[in-house]
Amino acid sequence: MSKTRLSKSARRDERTAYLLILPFVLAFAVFKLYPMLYGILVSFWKRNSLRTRASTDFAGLENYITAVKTSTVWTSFLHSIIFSVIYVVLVMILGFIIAVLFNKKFKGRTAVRTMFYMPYVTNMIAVGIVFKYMLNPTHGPVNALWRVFGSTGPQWFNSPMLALPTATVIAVWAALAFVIITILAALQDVPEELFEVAEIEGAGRMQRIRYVILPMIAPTLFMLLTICIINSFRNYTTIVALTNGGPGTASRVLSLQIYEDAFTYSKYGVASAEGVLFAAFIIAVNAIVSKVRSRCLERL
Amino acid sequence: MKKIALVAILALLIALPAFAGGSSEKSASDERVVTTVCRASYANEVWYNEMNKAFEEETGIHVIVQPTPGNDEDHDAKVNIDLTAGSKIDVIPSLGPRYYAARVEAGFFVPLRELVEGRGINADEIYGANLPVEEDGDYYALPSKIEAYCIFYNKDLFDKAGVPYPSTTEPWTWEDYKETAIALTDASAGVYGSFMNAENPWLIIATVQQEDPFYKEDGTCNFDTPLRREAIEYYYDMTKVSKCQMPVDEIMNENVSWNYYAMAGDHLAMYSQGNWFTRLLNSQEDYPRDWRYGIARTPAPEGYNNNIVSAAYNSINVNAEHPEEALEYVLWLADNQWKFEGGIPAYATMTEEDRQTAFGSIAEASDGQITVDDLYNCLVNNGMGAVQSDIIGTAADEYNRIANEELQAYFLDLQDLDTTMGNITRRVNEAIQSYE
Repeated sequence: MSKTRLSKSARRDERTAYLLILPFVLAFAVFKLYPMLYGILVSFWKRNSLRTRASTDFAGLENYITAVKTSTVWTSFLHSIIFSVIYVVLVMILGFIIAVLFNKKFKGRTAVRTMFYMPYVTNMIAVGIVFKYMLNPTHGPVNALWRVFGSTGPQWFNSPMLALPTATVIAVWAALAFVIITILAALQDVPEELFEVAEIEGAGRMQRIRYVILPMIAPTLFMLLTICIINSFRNYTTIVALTNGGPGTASRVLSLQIYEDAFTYSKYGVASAEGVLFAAFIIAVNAIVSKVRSRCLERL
Repeated sequence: MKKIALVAILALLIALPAFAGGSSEKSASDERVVTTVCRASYANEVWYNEMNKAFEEETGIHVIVQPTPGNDEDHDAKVNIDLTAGSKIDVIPSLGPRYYAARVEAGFFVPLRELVEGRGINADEIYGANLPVEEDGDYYALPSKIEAYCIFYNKDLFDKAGVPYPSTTEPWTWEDYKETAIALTDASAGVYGSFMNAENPWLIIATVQQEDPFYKEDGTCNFDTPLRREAIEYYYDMTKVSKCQMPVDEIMNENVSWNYYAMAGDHLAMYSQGNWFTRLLNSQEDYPRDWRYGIARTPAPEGYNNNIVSAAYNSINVNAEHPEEALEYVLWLADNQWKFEGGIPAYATMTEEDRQTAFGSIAEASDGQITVDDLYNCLVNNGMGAVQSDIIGTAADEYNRIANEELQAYFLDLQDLDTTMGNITRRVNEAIQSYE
């Protein structure tokens, strides 16, 4: 009797759970899943001009071949990789260091934390406007420091060597808060006794990090690594707000190339093929990270 | 629990349509309306709103305008996306033949010949060569204004440098222009003799006037020509050797919209712009300045005599919800937009009355700095042929963007001219191949 009642209750809970996730599932299906599947379909259609905007003529692999034969796609892809590597390395290392520092009590900690969290809630376009002013070589306050010493200073966004790294560092600055908060939460779950034992054993600061902190928060770090890799390729807003791909094509990333091919030049077929290839690449990278994660966590 | 979940779902279903709506502006069913789009910058312009108000008063048709946020390129991209998605906006404006041609080719517009002739109007006669007649003999828009290039200059800087004002009646060459710009440049005071935008057609302005084709006969890219190289080297010389033109890196660092420079005449002696600039120069409220301005003809390359001219078109969307009202609006705009905007009518010939209407208000608003004759002689009666400012053809948008990107890289000394030409040719050919 009791079993039947429990079973009924469980079924009711299950139904409620389904109902509660239904809005998300519906929204996901309409706004994510359907566009993704449709995008894959379009990548096989001859839909590369305003005239052929509604065409469903089968193009085979033509759009994929065009995409991989376009030199700008490869340079944009290379820039995306450079952006991603700088972004992920900086955001993970700085995020970890700052979170460890924030985990200690010090005077003004709340104020400093708030300062670090502010960029995360600031609109990227607003960030772009402020940084373009700050780093303006002729009128900006940053280059004013160089002018004190008789130099004009770096051309932050007009130099092909600096434009992409500068934009990436600003993206890191804006994204740091999320990493700090997440690592900080993980750090606060590390039992205090472990630190005490490490101290009794005579472990130094670096040893405590290596043998206590890192093993304890490794799952969180790997989860963050996956999120950061995905976010690093979602850099369209950052690039548009700061450099718009310039100077020339020096900071043109693949997300900008895909957007322009689709929505500026109406080459929906080619743009979809580029998107599918890019998504496949990101999935492959994350699959590798996932394997590395499993092995590392096994060893720990 | 069941009830709560049910209520939650119903609430969600009721709320969802609120996010799916378009414009909240609605009209009564008996009211005649016409819908159109405009650039965000137009939406707040006095002339644009007064123009629509005048149309409403004259016809009783209410104009519903949907401004598109962003810059001009964003506007055209968004309009194309909207049209691709089956937009029902009635009247679609196209500034310049590049977008117009692409939209006609895509089949977005209604053919107008029969409809216009049905009203007893002979558009061929009225608009002459300005009527965009297609290969099928029909036209899909009526032109509402002409935009002609010219030079504006700061009279105070000319006086200070002791340089005579350029003539409004005599032709001059780009070499004359450069010499004048050098004489006006005062590096110690931060004054440049010339300002030309760091984009097409200014980066290659002479070659546009020379009508050097952008495509080869086989449809591939024809950017790398001796004339084009000469035009690019001219701009390079102006910025890097003679240093009489604001350099590209400075323009890019300033990172401002083109209309900002209407206020920068205190350190820019001559501007290569067009008649659209008078609206800014005469608007002290929006573009305050404390210097007097003058107007001169566009210089031409030695042995050529063409001015760069563009046009604005209004078309009726094939999916228009109010086609009759749309036709009335398009016809009215062709006759009246230039009067409100301060532009040049697209008529085949200008009567004395048109001339006074087009230029009288501009001359008056300039407080005597320029006269009706100055405007007429520099913009219309200059004895120059007319060539289009736009690249028109396959993948023209992308062609234009690629040329801008690569030329800017050249002017920033990031690559040499051979590399620049090679990159443009390769990338444009790739774009042409990927376009259907």
